[in-house]
Amino acid sequence: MKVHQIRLCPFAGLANTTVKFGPALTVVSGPNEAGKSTILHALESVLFVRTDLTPARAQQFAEPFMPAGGGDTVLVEVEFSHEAKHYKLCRQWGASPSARLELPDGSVVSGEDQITERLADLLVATPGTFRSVLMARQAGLAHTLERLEEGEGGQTVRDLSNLLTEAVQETDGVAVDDFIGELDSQLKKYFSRWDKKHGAPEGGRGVENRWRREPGDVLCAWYEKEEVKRDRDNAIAIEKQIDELNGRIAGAARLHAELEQYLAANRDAVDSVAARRALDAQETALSLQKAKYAQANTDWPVLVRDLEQLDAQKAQLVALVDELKAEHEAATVFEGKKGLVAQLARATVRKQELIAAEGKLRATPALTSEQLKQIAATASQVRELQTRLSAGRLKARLTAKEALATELQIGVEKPVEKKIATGTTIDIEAAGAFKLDSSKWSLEVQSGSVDFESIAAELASTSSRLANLLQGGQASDEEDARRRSAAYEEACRAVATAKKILDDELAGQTFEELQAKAGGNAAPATTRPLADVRADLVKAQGDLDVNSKEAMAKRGRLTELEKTYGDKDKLFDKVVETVAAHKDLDKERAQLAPLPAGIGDLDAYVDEYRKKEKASKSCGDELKRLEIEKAGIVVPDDSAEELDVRYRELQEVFESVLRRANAIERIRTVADEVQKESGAADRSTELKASLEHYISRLTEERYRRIEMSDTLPSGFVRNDGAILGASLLSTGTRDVLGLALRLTMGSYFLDDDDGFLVMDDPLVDLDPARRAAASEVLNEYAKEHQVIVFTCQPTHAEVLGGTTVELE
Amino acid sequence: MALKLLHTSDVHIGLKFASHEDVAPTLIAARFECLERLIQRASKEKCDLVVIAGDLFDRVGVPKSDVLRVAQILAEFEGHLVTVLPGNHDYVDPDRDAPWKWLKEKAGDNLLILDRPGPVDLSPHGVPAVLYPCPCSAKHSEKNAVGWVADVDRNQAIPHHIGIAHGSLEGVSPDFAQNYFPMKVGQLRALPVDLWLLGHTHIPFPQNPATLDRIFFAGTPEPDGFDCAHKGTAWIHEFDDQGALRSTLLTAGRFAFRHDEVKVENADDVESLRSRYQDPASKQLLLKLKVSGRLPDEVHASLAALPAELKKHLFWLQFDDSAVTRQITKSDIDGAFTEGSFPHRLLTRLAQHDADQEALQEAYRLIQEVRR
Repeated sequence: MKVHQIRLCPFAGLANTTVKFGPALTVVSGPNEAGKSTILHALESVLFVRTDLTPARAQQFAEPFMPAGGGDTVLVEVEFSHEAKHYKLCRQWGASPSARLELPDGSVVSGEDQITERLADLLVATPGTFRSVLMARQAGLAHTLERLEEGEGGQTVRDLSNLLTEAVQETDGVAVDDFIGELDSQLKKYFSRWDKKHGAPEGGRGVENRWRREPGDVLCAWYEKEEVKRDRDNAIAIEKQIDELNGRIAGAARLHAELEQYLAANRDAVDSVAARRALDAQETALSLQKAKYAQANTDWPVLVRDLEQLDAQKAQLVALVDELKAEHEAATVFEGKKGLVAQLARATVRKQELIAAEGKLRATPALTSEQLKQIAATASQVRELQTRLSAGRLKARLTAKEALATELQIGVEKPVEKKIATGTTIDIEAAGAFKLDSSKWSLEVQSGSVDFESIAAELASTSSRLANLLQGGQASDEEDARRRSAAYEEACRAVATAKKILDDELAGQTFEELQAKAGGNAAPATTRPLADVRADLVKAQGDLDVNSKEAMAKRGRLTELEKTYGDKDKLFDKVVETVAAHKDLDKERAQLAPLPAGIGDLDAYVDEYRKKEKASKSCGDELKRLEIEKAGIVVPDDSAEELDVRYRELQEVFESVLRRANAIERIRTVADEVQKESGAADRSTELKASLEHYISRLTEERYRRIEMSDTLPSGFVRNDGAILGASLLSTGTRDVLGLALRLTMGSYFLDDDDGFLVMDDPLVDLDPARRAAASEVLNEYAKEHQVIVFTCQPTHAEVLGGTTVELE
Repeated sequence: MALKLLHTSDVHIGLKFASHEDVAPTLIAARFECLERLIQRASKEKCDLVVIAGDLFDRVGVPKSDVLRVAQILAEFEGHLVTVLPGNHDYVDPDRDAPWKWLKEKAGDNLLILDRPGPVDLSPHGVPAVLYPCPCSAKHSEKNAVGWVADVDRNQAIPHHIGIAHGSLEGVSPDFAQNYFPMKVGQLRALPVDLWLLGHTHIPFPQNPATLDRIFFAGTPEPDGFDCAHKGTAWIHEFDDQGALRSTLLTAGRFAFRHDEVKVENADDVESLRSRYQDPASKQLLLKLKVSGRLPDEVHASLAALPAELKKHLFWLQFDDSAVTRQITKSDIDGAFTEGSFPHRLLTRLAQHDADQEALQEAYRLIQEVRR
């Protein structure tokens, strides 16, 4: 960019002024207050100050530049070229802010954002660079140079060695060392005594053991919030302690009240226990006496009645004993004849058995064995004859053609009537002969092999004899005869056997003789065994003894009662007296404090009372102790809730301080990185050559070179080879150095681009020779980059030459 | 039989407002004034009864002068009775005269301190109700005080049975450590009372009562801090002759506490913020204003004057603009610093990362400070 002209219409003290600039060097001269600074401000404003400022900012900006003669608007118009193309920029601030940029093709850009964007392309350096370097009044450089003058010796050399780098870095008037120093100071201010790693005070020193010397802001904020936190926690603990104590006090008070209530309710009852015990003892004695009287009263009539009964019983027993004694005597005699009696008894039985056998024999019909033999022989004869007849067996079949009435006789049997119906057939079987006999005819059939008639006659005769024999024996047939014969023989044998047994029992004597020996039939039928009688006698005698003893005892008891009480009436009087005494005791007891219901064991009751009495005292003591403990608690003025609010506020403050401190720390880190990566150092050779060029030209080659240390300059090398530090340079030489630096930096920032350099009285402290040299150098420089010089020195303008603008 | 009562709690007379030292006297006085307004309102509404469900006082060690002033205010009630339940801040402490013994001594006949659990028949006072007070006996307790109500036989001859308790309610009050007499809705519903009047939570509950709602938190009538965003509340509960309940939420407070967070991005936002608190209500507003955002440099500079301007319209202001940063763009850096200079390089590096915003701001500030 090259500036062709600027119009101020109005701007500060210039109402309508146009200044035209040459393409190379332009010198704007004029006395003080002529408007040089105004033009410089106007140029800076039109290029870099937007018109869409906030009202406050707009006012702040425009107010110093408002027209001296009145008005509410300032306007600046600048025409410039870039790469041979023409532009016009107009900005107006104040009541009606506006901006417009006319482009080479005649079009207009009016939005600030677009204008700013276009200008960024047209300006070869940033606005900051223009403000600090290309349009500056050497403020930043002056500062750098001032520092050259401050140091001595090695210090100066060190400064000089950083000169170029710092010149670039510090063009904005920010001394890096100062800035770093400020950062370190801030870091110390924030982090002093703060352990960043652990996020806690160094050495873990909390609020109770706080750092007193040089605590940083972070630590102070931490202490402040922790102190309130401690107070808050303390308040909570105290509140809880009071809650806990109140709970215990309430519990103890409740228990104490319960115990006291019990004691009050039972005190009189417990106090009455001794009297109650005395009454109880009296009552016990009285009850014993009463029981004794009652027993005597009960026993007396019973004893009398019992004695009467015992006496009656005794008489009976005496009689029974006598009776049993007699029986015992008889039984003893009976026991002496016991063998003969038994023999007689047995013989009597045997005799009766003989009589019975004889009776049975008599009842049995006599059929001797001889008779039986005859019967058997005859019966045998009959059976033989019958067998002979059966040998001539006949069989006949008769069929009646008409009804037939006949008699049929088979053998020797009796004829039987037989009616045969027409057409009926009958079979006839017979032994030896049969005979049919009807009214019209008779048929007799006989076997031809036997003599039926003679056999039949013999059979009849033999059968008749048999019948007689059976009749004699009262038998019906042979078999019956056999049975009867056997029975008769049996009866005979029974009689013989009975007689023999009797004879054996009698042992050669007659029954009557035995009977006489045994006492005949006089033995008493009722005599019991001697042992039974004896047992009964012993028992009866025992009973009698018991009776006697019992009677004696009862009589003794009765005698004792009579002796003790006299008589029954007197005994009754004593019973009445005892009952009255009992009632008196009850009255006394009723006057005592009543015992609670359900109290059985007085000792246990009193023990329980004493235990509760002790517990109540202990509880009362505990209650007092707790109340004293509670009274000793110092309650904080502020509640836990209020302290918590405060704590949370201070926590926020602490976090804010810590955040800021961390930001400073971060800046420090980045600052270190930036310092290490100095961009200027990368181009130090180029800068060095440029600076050497300008120093050599401006000092008329008195100084030609810069001694380098690594990549940075460490001193100036004179023509004679001496190396001089900055402190050894003359004032004029140092001014030359300032100008050389300015030009070097101008070249550095503008590089090969179009651009302009504004300088304010650059020749002011130079002697005429160096002024001429400087003028020459500036004119040369202006061939590369447009240079605008403001000066209030007409002679300087004259020396400089170039396009001249004179302000009045 | 009809019954009308005013239900409040958590007046916290004696709160010190240490965090608002400059305006503490006014805030302290405001709590008395609020109680006074409530009593006047209850009288005007012809309430039979005023129920203060705990934390009338901020602590048991409240000064006697405060108690006497409260006694004087409560004595002004024109209805039948004022009943006061000790809450967890002003719990029953038998070893202290403050505040309850003092209050008993100085209060009129129309004050009943509900410092013992057990049914309280208000018929002798002309109020057709039985109260079931559940006073606190400590500041903290893991067990609530309503248990005894389960064993009570209701006197059916009296129409209204009202439970009064103080503590947290599950689902309504934050009480993560279960330290503040914690109650549960189910537990309260199971007890033989018709209405529960509760205190402790400073926010009213329910927000929009339904016909059958029977559990109420009054909320604090005068806001006391930035965690209390409403304007101060109390209820008027009215039973009609049929026993139907109508509950009306009153606005009772004078001061409001608010924590606003405003983001500003440009001059218009700042202007909007400047005019935001100019309504008359802001004169009673304690405001914590946290402003955040990035502003152009010239706008950022204007922020410095903002707190003073806002304070003119507010009762109290805590202004925090630490989260407002200058809008420092590359263009800003290029415009202000020479390319390649130390500030230019440093700021450019810091501007590359959002995480370095605060460092960027600080660096910019420090550079301005050391710049010659």
